[in-house]
Amino acid sequence: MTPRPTPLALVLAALAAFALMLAVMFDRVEPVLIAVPLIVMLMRGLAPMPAARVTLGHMISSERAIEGDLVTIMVTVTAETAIPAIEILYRLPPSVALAAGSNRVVLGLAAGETVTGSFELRCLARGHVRLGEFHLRLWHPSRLKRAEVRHEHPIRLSIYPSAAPIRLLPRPLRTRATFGNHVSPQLGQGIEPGDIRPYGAGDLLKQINWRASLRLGRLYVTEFHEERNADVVILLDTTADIGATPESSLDHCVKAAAALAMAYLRHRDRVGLIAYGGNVQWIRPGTGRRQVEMLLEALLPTSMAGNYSFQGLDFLPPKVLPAGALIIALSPLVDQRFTRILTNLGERGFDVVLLALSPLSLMRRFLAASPLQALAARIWTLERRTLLEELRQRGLAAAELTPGEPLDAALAALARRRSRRVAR
Amino acid sequence: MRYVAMAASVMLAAMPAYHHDGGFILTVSLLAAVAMLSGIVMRSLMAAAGGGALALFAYTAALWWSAAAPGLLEPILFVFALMAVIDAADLGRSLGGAEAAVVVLRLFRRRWLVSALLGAGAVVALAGLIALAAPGAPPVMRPVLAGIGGFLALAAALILLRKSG
Repeated sequence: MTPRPTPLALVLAALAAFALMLAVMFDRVEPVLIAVPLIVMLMRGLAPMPAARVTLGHMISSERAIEGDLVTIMVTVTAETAIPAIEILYRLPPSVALAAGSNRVVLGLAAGETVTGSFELRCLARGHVRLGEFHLRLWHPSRLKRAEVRHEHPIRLSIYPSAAPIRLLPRPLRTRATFGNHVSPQLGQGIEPGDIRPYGAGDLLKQINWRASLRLGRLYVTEFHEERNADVVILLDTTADIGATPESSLDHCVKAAAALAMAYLRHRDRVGLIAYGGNVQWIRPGTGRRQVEMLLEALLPTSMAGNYSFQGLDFLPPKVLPAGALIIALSPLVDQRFTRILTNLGERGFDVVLLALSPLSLMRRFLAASPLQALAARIWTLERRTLLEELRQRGLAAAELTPGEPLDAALAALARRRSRRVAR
Repeated sequence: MRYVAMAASVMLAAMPAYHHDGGFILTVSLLAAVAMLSGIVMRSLMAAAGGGALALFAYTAALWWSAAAPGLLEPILFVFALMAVIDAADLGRSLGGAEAAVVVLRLFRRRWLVSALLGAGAVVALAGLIALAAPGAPPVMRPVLAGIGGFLALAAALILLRKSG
């Protein structure tokens, strides 16, 4: 720790010098008398810095949190030597903000004394946050010099995107062979009545539809729709990110992706993830708690992929993009590469649902209100509408997602459009 | 403590007017008071120090103008008030926003007071020496004082430039 003079020392030196110069200029002794105490104070700053040895420790109430959660940090400072004044700053990354208490303290410690303090942090944005960077500033008792040093005791805080519950999930057109919660077009065992057919050998008595049998004069049985699960692949567009964290377009898309993934996994569907940013990163569809963890961990560090390459999804193995899977694409529809990908998937016969996040409100926060900007925004809105209409005509179910509005609102509009297509 | 410093800044600005009530001195004193009060309120050490320097200039100029007899008590009062102003501005700036333990603040204040008292003692001792060597002592000291003042001003300016660069 190399001590450095504080601004106070510089100010005192400058004032003393100024006083001496005034004494010479005006030929008065009073400024000299004023300068002398200032010089005496400066001389007190020549005393050596007190030796300081401290041990720092910190604990976090939880290493995993959801956006908006509060976590408590407990800091322990143990002084091995007496320290007259030490300032401790616990550096906070931009993804968290101080909610209660203070992350900067000034302490005077006796040898062997231990001081414990705590403060609360609010988790603002998803991601892995590295905490535990201490900045120590040892003050000379005269306040004329100070020494600074940095200590690191890293711990990781994982902030997961907040996933709002969803009621209206897009229903897959095709289901898998295994049991689940979706009503399948196939008839078999289930609770949702499907069709009636004449009684045959081997049919159970409890399946007989007595009302139809009495009306038609022969035995009929009721068939039920099977309840199956489905493959759902969430296709996340990382080619563009508009706005500032934690309210950027990608942040909104990630939140929607997390909410959709959680909702489908609760329905026992297999959920996979493909992050498309020119290049492709994926997680194979799966189910269960392990898949929840894998998807959330994959979504945490998602950021815009800064490249201009184009790689289609044709090469993806069927295990990543199973035939008949429901693909839910989340995109601000800014990059044409993603539009090409969607068109291609539609042409390959996939059931594609597009949730197009409107980046207009995110952009407006950065732009001054002017007639020209308003005109540009209107033109952009029209272009987006045209693009969405084109995609709908190509067989994609598309709905616009507005930042700040519940995901259910966009999904309800989507459900109305898809209701005629979903076979029951 | 801030209110004491505010009162001290008003006193500093009033001291020149006690010796000379010319328009120039009053204007400079008023500017000094505004700068010092702003420094205390806005936690700006530079503003407080600038105001202190203006007050010092006004005080010396007023003494020169009025050709008052050299005094001892007034400079000591002046330097105590100046220290109170700078202390309030600096403590607010350097520890602003931090949770400062009371013991630390007490330590800082105690050291500050001890330094001020030592300074006052040094002033008395210096005044005594000058009085013993009177009447020829101050003019003899002029080149020495000019040299020390020039050196300190240059050093402070260089350090400030390096820090700001």
